[in-house]
Amino acid sequence: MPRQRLSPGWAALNLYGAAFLVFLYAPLALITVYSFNANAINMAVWEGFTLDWYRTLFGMQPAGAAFDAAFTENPDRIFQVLRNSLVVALAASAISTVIGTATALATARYDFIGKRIYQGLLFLPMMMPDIVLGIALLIFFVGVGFKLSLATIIIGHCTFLSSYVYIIVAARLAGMDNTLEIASADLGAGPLTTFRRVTLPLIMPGVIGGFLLAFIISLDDVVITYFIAGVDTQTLPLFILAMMRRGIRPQINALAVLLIAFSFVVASAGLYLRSRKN
Amino acid sequence: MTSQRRRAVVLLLAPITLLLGAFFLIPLGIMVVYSLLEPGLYGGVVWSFYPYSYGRVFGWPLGGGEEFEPLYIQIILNSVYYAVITVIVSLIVCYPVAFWVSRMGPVAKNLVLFAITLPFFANLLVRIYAWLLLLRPTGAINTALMSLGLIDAPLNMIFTEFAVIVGLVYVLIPFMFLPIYASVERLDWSLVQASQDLGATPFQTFRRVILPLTAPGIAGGAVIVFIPALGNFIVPAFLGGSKVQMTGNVIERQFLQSRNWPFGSTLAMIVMASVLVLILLYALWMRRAGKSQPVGEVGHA
Amino acid sequence: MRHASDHELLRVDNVRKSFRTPESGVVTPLDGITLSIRNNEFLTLLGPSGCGKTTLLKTIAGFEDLDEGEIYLDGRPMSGVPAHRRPFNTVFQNYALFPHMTVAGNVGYGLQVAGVPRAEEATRVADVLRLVGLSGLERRKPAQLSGGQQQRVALARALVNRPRVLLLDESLSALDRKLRQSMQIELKNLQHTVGITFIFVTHDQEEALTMSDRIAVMDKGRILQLGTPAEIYDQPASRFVAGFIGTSNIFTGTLTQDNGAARVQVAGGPAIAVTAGGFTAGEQVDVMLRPEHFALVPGGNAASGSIVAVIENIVFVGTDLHLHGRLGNGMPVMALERHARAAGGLNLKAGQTVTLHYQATSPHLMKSGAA
Repeated sequence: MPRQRLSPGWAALNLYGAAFLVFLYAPLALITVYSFNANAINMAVWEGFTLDWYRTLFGMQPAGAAFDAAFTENPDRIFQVLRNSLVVALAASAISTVIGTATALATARYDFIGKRIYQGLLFLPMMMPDIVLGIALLIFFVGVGFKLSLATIIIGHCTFLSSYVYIIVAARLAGMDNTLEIASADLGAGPLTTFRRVTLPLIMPGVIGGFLLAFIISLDDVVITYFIAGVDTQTLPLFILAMMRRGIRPQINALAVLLIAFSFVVASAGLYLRSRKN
Repeated sequence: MTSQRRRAVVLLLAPITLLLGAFFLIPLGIMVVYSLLEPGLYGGVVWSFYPYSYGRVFGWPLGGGEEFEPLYIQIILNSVYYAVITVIVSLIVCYPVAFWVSRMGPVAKNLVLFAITLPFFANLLVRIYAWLLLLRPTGAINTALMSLGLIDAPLNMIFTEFAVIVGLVYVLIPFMFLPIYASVERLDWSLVQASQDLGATPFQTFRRVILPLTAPGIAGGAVIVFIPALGNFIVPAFLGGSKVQMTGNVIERQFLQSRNWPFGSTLAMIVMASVLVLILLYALWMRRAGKSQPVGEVGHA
Repeated sequence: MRHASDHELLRVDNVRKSFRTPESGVVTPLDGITLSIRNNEFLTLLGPSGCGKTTLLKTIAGFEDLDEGEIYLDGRPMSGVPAHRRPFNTVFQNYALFPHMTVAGNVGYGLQVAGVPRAEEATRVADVLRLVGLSGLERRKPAQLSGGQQQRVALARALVNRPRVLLLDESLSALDRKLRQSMQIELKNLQHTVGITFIFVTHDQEEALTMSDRIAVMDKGRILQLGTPAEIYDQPASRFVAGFIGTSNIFTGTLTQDNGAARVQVAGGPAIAVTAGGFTAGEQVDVMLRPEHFALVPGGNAASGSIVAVIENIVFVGTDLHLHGRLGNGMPVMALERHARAAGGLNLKAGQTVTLHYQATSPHLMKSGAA
């Protein structure tokens, strides 16, 4: 297929595409620049480079005469919410990876009555608006008498994260030749051995990719967590939410930048593994 | 052998069945029940059949001290309106981009696809916060325009419908892009040539060949953008201020401030029912048209 | 029935096109092509893949721009006329049927976009579907048709617009062998019936020989030879053309003239009696002998008008035997023998020495080394 020469139409399209990427990234770039701007009052005016917002975020002393030096009354608070978020994200994505992978194996490798119902049902938690799922879980936990805690957040996250992992692993299984498994059985391996020695190694990139994406989605979840978190089990997004409600402060920029950077690294790894061929 | 296979299926499906049964279907079921219970005086519920929360929204049936408040219909319709505008704007923005990406070489294509997907993983609040910084009176846009001398006083952008729609579009646009891109990527360009060859003008080719063949992607994108837009409450809470109300904001208040859980559940039921109807219509349309289109990365926002 | 006339319909005038690819640098699919296409003729562009034949077809259709040169229709230059305004229609290699339209929708598309009234469209669609034998399938979608039926829809979709030129891009290559052979004849008949100029692109020499009024053999962006199938077959212009069309034995040697008897002396091999044609003594030439030019006699009696070979392989292909042998100097040679004759007492075996006789008018001389 010969290459199209660059016509005015394509030049315009290139420009448009570039503008689209600017639209996606400019807001994030702006926060990043702001997070290093010493001007805390009018962030849109550059007043010099500072790391003070990062320092004060974690309770350290500012190097310069930082505005509003103390970020929170309790500097340990941010470490606590960070720990909460990591515990929730790790537990929820690990559980969801196991459940999602098991489900994908069942639908991809077996025929059973109600398979289509399962496949449809698995889409629903992702399609349900967050607020509906959040309040349904809230009513349920309160009604059943579960104390709102990290455990309720983990359970809540699992309900929709399992579907994400399922879709990623199922896509990988669908692209995989099941004659390999038949060959393994033909060579005398039992179902468990076949799974451990053949299937699992082949779907591993999908499984790990699914885990990482689930981890990031859990870490970033705001709405569902908002309804089912207890008073003393705030996560990082809820902490930011509370901060934003109190007003714009330069430390939020710093925290936002750290969160973006972390999410991008983990999500990149997840996306890479998900798309990787054997 | 078959019994062994059956045991394997049962074992593999048990966790998801338990999870979705206990923590998804049952909670949604309880929410349905709650929407039909009487609100307690100081939060909580009274266990008696009480369809009047629906009456408060729709005007019928009324009773139990509930009055018809047209405000809620207005808010629901507003939410639908914002969601529809969000869908239309994202569609118009994404459609040309999908063609742009689809005609790239393999390396550039993967890179750009990655670049478009990545912002979705930045925290929702952070993305909204960025627009707060851009749109407020002392924000980046106003400061830039004023220092260029284009305007004398800051434009009033924050806490407007415009801000809410910009925020919704920014947050949800990956969901529109991916399905559209999938259908454009699958478009057979020889069909476009065939259409030209048969004498169709560029516009006729677009309307009669390109548009129908990418319609599944457009429909898929529209559905998965519309749904989270409809129930959104974070975007209007921060970018709409007190001026722009969406159903999500009212639901949130019923649960966390007014403590009228049955009424909150009623509104959530209305949102959920609209979503389910939409999904059903979409599934029926896809089946009738015999189209198979992976929705791509169906998202959660 | 209408026959090809000498009236020039389409003129391709010194057309050039090249472009850069990341893989193979600068590619020149059209390297100065000049071609005159007559009214109502069936012209085939024949060549190996990458020879530029499809690019030439696309430039005629208007899908590709030219770097240099011009294409004229009835003397009017076509550059600047977009594809959708050219009175040409294409039958695509993969048919490019619109999957979201029915057979009738596909066939009627060109008429609809041209604003032809509904009633006329219906009549013309019905007529053309009858012509290609698809009546009754109007409401089917392309996915519900066999490959052969899809091919006919593509043909009908192009023909219904009554194009000045019908362009066919490897249009039979997706069909299986049996179907392809019957479609070749059908296509040729159809061309006579509708009286439209067909430009057919193929890499299949058999297809080209069967259907064409004239064949243009292409390689590396150039036309090597343009002529009727018989001309191309009997008098190929070069070793490449001879090798591409049919099977041939080609020997390289020096032309000698001895008392009016012309021969080509193959280095270290036989001298082949030829008719000198336009060549002069001492010239290096390629001489071609088709396998069917040989009459086989058992035993090795070399004389003028024959060569001696040892049979190495006998391949039975039905009506004929293909005999693969070697000359005394080890050069391969191939001959054809009727199965009926071979079975009737010749009793050919591998290892047998045979004499291959030919008539002095059979060998065809070509300039040596010409591409």
